[in-house]
Amino acid sequence: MAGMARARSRRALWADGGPALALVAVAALLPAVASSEYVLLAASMIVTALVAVSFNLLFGYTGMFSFGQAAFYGLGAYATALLMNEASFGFYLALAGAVLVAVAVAALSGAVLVRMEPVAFVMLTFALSALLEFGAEHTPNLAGGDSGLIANVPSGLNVVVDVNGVYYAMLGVASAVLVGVFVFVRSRAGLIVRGIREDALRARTLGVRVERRKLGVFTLAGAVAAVGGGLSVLSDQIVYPDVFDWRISANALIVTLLGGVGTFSGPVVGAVALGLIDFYVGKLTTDTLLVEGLVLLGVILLAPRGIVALRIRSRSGRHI
Amino acid sequence: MSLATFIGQLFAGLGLAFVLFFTAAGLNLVWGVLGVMNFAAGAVYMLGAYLTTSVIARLGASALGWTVALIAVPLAVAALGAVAEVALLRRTYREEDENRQFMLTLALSYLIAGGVVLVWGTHFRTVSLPRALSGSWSVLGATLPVYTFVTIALGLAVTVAIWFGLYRTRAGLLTRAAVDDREMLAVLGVNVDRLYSAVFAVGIGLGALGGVLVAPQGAVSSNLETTALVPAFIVVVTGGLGNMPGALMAALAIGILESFAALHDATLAQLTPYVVMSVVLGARALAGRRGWSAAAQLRARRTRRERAPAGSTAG
Repeated sequence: MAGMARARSRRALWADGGPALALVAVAALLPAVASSEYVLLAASMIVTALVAVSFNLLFGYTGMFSFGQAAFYGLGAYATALLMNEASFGFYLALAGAVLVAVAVAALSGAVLVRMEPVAFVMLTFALSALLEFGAEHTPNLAGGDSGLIANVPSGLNVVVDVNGVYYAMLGVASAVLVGVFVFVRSRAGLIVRGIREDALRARTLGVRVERRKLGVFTLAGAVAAVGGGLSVLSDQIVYPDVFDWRISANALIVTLLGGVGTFSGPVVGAVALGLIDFYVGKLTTDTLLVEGLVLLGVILLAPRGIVALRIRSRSGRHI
Repeated sequence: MSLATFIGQLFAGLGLAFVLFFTAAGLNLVWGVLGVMNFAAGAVYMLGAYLTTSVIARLGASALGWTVALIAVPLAVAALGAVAEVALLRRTYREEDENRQFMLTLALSYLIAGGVVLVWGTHFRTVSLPRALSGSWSVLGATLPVYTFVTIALGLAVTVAIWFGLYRTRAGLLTRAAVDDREMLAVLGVNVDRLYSAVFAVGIGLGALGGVLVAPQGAVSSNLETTALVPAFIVVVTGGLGNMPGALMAALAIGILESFAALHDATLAQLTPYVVMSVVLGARALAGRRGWSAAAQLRARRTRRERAPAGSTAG
């Protein structure tokens, strides 16, 4: 019995983590077979996936509907660029510093936000990203204002010189983050967090400190989004105030839904799927908003559990 | 500060406040009654502004053109809202997952924004006012634009109309009843579905009216969506979700303070909504008030009541 249970849980582990693992493996082989155009596309998918993973930690696992993950994504981007420019940090040190900045902002703002009722949480996370965008636009001396902040990337990580090198650096960091998130969602702490999503009152009755756990996830999600922002500095080499744009937060939602909300692989699968859709549709029309709206509408109405669930259902004939 | 400056800034602030209030009132109405946070409010505002540019381009910046724009554009957008409500939102009210409604309105906002790009392109547009409205009047030494008078007058008229509609008509009585107990209202033979469609249409129409009024005050571009949405959210959260008088007060406070702040510094002015929100939310947190408004408290109580038996059977 115990053996069967263990085998089943191992199967569930593979079902949840497998698609992401497979995509990372494909991503690792990509530069060998594809041109730099596709490598850059994959690089942008890596960034999108991290923001979506961050959103999914909050919404999918904890039931907190954040509409402001762009705040932490943008903080990650600006802090990484500023630490490289002003403090002459190397990229990885700057990235680590940027994550600390995002963690600090998430912990401070989260201490208030996690106590809000859900709809106020949505609006206020949104307001947080709008406030930061405003700040970036109005500090031309520090953040470059509307004309953007050009990042002095180290010569070893210059995307113009070495696309594949930058790509592997991004993939390596992102993979490490994914492993960390996987360990978290599969741990006891991840289970408790899902318990809060299902029934916060019951969790509280069982002795779970709901606010503290929520704050923990909010901070973790902020860190993950900040890594995405920091990595975007490598591929873009310039940071504009629109890294705080609410469309980035909305995009994380679309990607997560498309892939499968509340599953580990969902945001990764969704990032690849939407990246491909945008890439090929972008060759036909510039009106990607319409396409993304249709994708979102289609997912909500036709496949609310996302691509990952389609796969799982077709194999075992039932939902997990 | 001279009296003329004071009057001028106060007046401009009132104009700002009422444009804010249109979108916020629409958001509030839809949230209060349907329990849906309408993310399409910003897109609707932008659509209203773009439709206005087309109406004025066709009919000219005359009294006729502006009368048509002020009446037909909100009505047309409201009709679109009713269609969207019937086609998308109606099926979701009985579901437990309220996030689906929010996501549907987000999809709607993408579709509207994408449609605007499809029809009007990405270049910004401008419209001009009829000559009668483009001048200004001199009051106690202050120069007050006629158009701001129109905005304030319309704002007051709509505020009174909302109040009258909610508290002095049968439809308003039913709407308020629907906030309290939707099922009971349906049992009593009221067509709640139609009521919801109407409320959503009115909420959307209010947002579009804000867009019409803002169209001649600057460039009409895709930025309007965000510039409408953020302050409207702030007004709604500051005033208390679903609390209409609260939203009006928040809009007035933010509009007037922003106008006076603009005297000193443009950046400070744009920060005003955040400052007002932080002060109000902070004060409310210090006062220990957990509830946001009577309606929200009622909703929370009802949700708890409804969910309790479901939870006990599932466990």
